Amino acid sequence: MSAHAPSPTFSLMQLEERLARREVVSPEGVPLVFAVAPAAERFAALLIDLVLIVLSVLLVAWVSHFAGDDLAQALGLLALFAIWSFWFTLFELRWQGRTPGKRLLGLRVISANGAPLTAGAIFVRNATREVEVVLPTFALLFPEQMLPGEGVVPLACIVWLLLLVTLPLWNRDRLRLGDMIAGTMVVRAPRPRLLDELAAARPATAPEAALRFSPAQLEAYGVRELHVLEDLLRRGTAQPENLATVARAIRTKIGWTPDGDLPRDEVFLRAFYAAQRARLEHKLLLGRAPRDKHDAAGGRAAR
Amino acid sequence: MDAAQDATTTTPAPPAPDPSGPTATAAETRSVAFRRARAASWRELETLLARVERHGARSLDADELARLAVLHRATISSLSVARGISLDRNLLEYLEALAVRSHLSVHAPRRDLLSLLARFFLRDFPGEVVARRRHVLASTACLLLGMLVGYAFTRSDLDTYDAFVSPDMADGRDPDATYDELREPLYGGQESLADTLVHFSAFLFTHNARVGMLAFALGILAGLPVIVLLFYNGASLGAMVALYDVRGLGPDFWAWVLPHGVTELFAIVLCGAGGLLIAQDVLFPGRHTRLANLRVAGRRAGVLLGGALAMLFVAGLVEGIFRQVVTSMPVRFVVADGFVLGWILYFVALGRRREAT
Repeated sequence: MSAHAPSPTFSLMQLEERLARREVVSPEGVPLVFAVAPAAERFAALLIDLVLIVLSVLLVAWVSHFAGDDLAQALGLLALFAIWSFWFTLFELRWQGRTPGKRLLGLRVISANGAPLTAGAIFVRNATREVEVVLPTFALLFPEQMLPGEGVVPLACIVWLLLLVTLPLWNRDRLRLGDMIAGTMVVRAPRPRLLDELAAARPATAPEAALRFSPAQLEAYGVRELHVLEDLLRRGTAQPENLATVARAIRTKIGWTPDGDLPRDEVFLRAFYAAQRARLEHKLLLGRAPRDKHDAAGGRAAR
Repeated sequence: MDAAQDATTTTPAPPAPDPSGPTATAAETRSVAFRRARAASWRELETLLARVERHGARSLDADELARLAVLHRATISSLSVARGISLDRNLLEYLEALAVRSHLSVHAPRRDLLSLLARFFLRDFPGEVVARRRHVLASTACLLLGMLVGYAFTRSDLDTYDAFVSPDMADGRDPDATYDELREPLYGGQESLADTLVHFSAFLFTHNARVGMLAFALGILAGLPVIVLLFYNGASLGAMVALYDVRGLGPDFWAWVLPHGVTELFAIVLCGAGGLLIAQDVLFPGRHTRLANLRVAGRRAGVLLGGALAMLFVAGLVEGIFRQVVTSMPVRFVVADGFVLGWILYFVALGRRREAT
């Protein structure tokens, strides 16, 4: 959070671009936009699940140890196998594409083509974990037993396993092998809240209502700047120095002078936001709104 | 270019909701009015979705379900409209997320687990096995070839046994073992009913399921590992057969291994066939991209793998219970034959029917 940067917009825009998005056409024919789950969150979810698996395995082992007789121990062994092999599959079947780890992190498995997630896809995407998780782990822990031969061969195996494990990092949708085979992907299941309308009509007595902007003054910015301003107004009000910086920048850029006293920064920004949004939405209706200030400036220059 | 055109066409037109005009405070922009009119239905959908996500769709009664469908479509349409008229990012993000949530809840598979399983074992699995018979045959050939090689080598020179059977798999059944040591686990019923063999069966089950999954999962690694794995497993079985054969326990060993081995080996073969199926589509993609092929082949192979795991479970049961109770060689052979017949009937009868439809 750099308060001294020319504008707070830079970091926000970067953050937004880092999250890959993926369109999936719903059966209603409307493209829905999913945010691809970042690799770090997937890994964290996996770790949580692994910890839970180990805990339940320990529990089963403890119970069957105390049960004492051999049959119980054999059953315990089977239970361990079942827990290990079907933890992910069963949870994703029951909870519609979520395991405890994914649920905690707000992640979810979906079918990459917009169709409902099928049981077969869930089964397939988890069957390959054996190669993707177990094999590399064992190779790491017991290199002598797992990696055959000497010299080049183990090295090649290690490179191969590394490629396999890091596969999600090499494609845009963060697909691991199982996802590719099953035709699934893991997305964030976000829960944005509907916040207050910033451009709501205000009574004539409100301070914002007194501020006027000429059409020419609303030509300077495009949609991106509008969104940055929205972010600033929604969560930046706690930092008055940011508001002041941005308000000053805007006033200078559009050459705006108050009729009377200089309004409070927040009031000015709210009024400008409402006016700018109305202007850009009008353009959107008639064709297209300028993407950003360069787009807007380009349009003006051509005129 | 576009921007230039836009600018020339839009600027001369007097903007209707001109915020700079005297009516600025009274006039609402379209997006604001739109939101005011629709927001209530979004909130209603949100509360319904929260219930579905927490307690499942069954917690809704018929009216609420119908309402959910209506609200879902309304929200999808709201999203389309908002994308066209609104530049309020919070509103757009909210609608995107709501539409996604509702999409996932409304278009979720509603089948219960039981009918899902029934459909799988009565239709999908046998049908896929019959449809992929060539891969199954190829996979069987790999296993049989391994068995032959393992048998031939061990038969001619017992010292090669260790090359085919790992020590923990052998579990004392190696060339140094005496006749009795070799014979004991085959009939080790009565006095040590549960002891070693229950453990061993559990181990085998886990071991074989692992092998099956590996054979499948390695399929993407271009097929060679699948073939090697099948071959190696066949070889270790062949080597064991040779060892018992040399000691004059050949038939006894077959009687011991076949009742469950029939099912187990067939399951492993099916996993291998799934792996080969994937390998084939990755190596020779044909008209589609490799990734698209991988998806199609992956689902088919997944059916084979799922069924094979169930078969391994059956094999594990036979191994863990039947083999301890029945020690008579003829009965063991009869049961083994019964399994061969049973599986063939199951696949041919149910699989063919599916192919016909």
